[in-house]
Amino acid sequence: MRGSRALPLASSRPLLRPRLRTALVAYLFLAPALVLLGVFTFAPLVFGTLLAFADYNILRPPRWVGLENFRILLEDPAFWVALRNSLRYLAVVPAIQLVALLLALLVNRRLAGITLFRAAYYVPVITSFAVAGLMWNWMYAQHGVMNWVGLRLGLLPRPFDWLNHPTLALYAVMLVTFWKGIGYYMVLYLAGLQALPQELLEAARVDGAGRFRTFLSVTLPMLRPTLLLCTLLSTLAAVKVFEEVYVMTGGGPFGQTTTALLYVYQKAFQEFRFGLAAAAGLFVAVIGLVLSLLHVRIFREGGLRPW
Amino acid sequence: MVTKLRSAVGHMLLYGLLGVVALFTLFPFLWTLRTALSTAGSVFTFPPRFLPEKAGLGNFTEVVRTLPVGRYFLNSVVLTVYGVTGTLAVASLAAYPLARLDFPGRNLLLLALLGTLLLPNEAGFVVNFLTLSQLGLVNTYTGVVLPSLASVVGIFLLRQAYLAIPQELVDAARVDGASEFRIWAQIVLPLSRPALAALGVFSFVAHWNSFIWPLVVLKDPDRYPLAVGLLYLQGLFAHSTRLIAAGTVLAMLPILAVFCFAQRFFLRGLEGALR
Amino acid sequence: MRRAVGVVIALFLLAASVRAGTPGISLEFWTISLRPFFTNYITELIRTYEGQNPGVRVHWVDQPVGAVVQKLLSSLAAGAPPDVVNLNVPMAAELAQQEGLLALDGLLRPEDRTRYFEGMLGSFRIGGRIYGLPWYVAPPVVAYNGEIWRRAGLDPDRPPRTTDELITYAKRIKDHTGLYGFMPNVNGTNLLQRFQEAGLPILEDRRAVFNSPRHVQELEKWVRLFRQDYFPEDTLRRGYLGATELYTAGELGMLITGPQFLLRVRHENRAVYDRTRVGPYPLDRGRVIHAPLMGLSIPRTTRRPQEAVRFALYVTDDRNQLAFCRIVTIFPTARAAARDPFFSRLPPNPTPEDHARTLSARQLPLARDLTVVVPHQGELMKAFRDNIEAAFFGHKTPKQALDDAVRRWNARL
Repeated sequence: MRGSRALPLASSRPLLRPRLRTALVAYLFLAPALVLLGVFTFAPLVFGTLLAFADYNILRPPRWVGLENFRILLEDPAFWVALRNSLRYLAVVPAIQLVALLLALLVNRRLAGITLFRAAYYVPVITSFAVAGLMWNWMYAQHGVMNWVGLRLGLLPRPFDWLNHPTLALYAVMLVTFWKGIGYYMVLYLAGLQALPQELLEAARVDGAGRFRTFLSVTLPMLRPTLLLCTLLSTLAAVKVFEEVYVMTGGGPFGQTTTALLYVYQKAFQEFRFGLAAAAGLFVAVIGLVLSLLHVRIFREGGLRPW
Repeated sequence: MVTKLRSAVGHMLLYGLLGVVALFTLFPFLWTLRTALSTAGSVFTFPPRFLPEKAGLGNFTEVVRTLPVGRYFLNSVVLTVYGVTGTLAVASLAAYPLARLDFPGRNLLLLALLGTLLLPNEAGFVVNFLTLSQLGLVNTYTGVVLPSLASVVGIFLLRQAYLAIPQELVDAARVDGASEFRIWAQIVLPLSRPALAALGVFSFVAHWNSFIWPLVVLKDPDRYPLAVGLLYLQGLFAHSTRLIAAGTVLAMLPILAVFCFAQRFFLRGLEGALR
Repeated sequence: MRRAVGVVIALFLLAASVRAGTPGISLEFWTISLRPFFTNYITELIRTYEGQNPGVRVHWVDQPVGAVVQKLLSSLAAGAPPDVVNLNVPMAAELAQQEGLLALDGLLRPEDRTRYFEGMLGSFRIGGRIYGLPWYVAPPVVAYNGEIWRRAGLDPDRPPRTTDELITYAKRIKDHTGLYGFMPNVNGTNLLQRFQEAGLPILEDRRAVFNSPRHVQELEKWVRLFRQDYFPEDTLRRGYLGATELYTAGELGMLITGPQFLLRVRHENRAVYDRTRVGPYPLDRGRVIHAPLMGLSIPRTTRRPQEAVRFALYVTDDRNQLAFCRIVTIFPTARAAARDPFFSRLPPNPTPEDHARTLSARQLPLARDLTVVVPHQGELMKAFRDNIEAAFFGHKTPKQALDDAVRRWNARL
């Protein structure tokens, strides 16, 4: 790690005292963050994990029930539907990443008005989910614009309520995730592209490589840290998707768009079964962990350390 | 001549493509703006009407008349400024030792921080509310911002930026006998300005848009920020689509302005962060 | 830079010290979405009460409708609940089941109870105990677009009297004009109320019984109408909000809704409002009408149960209910207030709202909040809703859907 070079003076002095001093200084710097994280992030995490083994409705003290919550979960078909939907949601990751990368390449040039386009692509990112949900509800309504466009292009036989279709609704929500996501990742890719050493790209071009070849053999490999970061963030966000579904379908029709975290929310705040919700939350955490380990592994095989 | 023509056609194609994507990303907002500007006729007609009917600012004045929008706006500003300064202060301090000091427990800490990104935190809602009420912070802005002040993503973003600062600069200061705090304040921070700006914009967006947590923590409607106050437009007795659209536009304008202003900074900041 | 850090710390301390402090006897009163339109009414109400009861301060907090249960839950958990809170029947049922509300039986005098319509007070009887005082009620009417009716060859002076007639009219409108005739309240758990309006039981001896052949027929009827495209898909997801939107756009023949929503039609599309006529809610075999009811409940951990009940009784007394009804088309839950000529006499040049008021007032004795209250409310309602939706979308037959729902219910009852 680069930080290990940080103490050239310390090594020439007696060992213990400066080390202690450094540690003290380090933890002083970290103190505000650690206190806040400890109280507001780690404590709820620990509490939430314990709750998975309890029956708890907030108003009565928790009652320990062992593995009961997990048994209920495994027997609940709705939970499996929710897990399946969260995994299906992963399909949005390659779509977002591909389009975001292409967009980044498109806008990474000096053109009149290019900053305006960049800004336009970023507008969905700064739109809150509450607002995005309202807007897209209007778009998808039976009398909304999406149906009109579909009819005009001859793609739809008749207008229908997109968010209420047992199979299509989930994909309609994914489109909103896509809409909100491409700008975010475009900016990250753009930053990655602009940080690439220009000399290397020049050299490739001088060697007579075409644009496409240069991209495949020079740009893409060097972008790998950014790719890893973006795909990892995007994968985790997909597994943990909640807001879009909550504001647009609420999980319906008949649970067909319920995702894992929406299931957690419903158990906690609509049925007041916080223990069950915590158990389901643990499941999601484990899935997220497995996916990110896999992810890092795939990238590491390409010779990359993520951090 | 041929190449010139080809590049002209290429340009046109490029702009066409850029335009189509922009239409996709902007359309919902433009549609909302259209609804907000129409003062007559029906909101839902089929086929849809793309220009406002009897365009005017009537809906905006109506929103301002029925809700204390000015007050909500000020509340939002206070909350957001509080949140952004706090986030920047906490993250910029924490990132320093993680990037530039060697101390026991550092790797463990980095792992633990990453872990928080993986785990869902549904119990956080309840536990944090209980903690805040123990601390007597319910119905205060401190209670609203405190749980989200320590931004793990922010810490990582700034750590990456700090790592990019040449070691010689830091070493020179150490030889001069500068304390770590002075190195942080006088060398590292000024050099990380773009990354700080980027984090500032991220956290501005997050604080400006957040509504669930403020709604839970704040009791007194006079303290609601804009995002929460506008919920009153979707009430039991008056659910007017045009007014909701106008409120939506009002809530989005400040953030659009900030983004347009900070855009240059923002891209440069991320550049430094990802190197 | 050091100064900046100092400023941040100072900000922290400053914000931490700004805290709401209320001395003396103070009551916290929560309402649902009454701001901004009824701010004057509520503040006036409170001012009068404080004048009559020196030393009592009432602190009013209005919550947006989507947030009230969560906020109440968190404030209960934190041990600082409001003293009087506005809840509808489903909310009150859920919170009473989680032991969050105070049973009022011991705190009410006999004359307090007889003040309200018996059925309405009964709607707040959950598990045999009273958990709320009825405040106001919004029985539905049928608003219809006279212009669309004429095009369909219907007589605008003859609104539908029964559910069967309503359906016949709706079909005729769709067949003759291509526009939808209605968006019936069959989404979500509304069918539980629909069953009761049709005279069908939900529970008998604490067992769910809504899968008899007659229940199945009722569900089949609506599923068939849906399949034949006699009402739009939006109905199932968006319910009355979607219906109000479509009606306001002039694209729906009839709107079955609480009369307070006519206000919205007037606001958004004057042309449609001017064509709007109002008829009574069509009756079915049960001769009962589901009317969503609002009430006032007292959280179990309030420090001042006596004062809280006193204030709740004051807010729901005849005079104050009547004053509220005069500013919006809602109805009193107190018998004496409902007898006021305001509800029976039409003013000159009556508006659709005036018609709605007199029509609803006549039906008021039939109105009840038919919300079904069962243990594990949230879970069982979700099971019901999911099965009904599966039936509408053809994933289950109506019989299978009701059988499955009944099985889920009886496993938990």
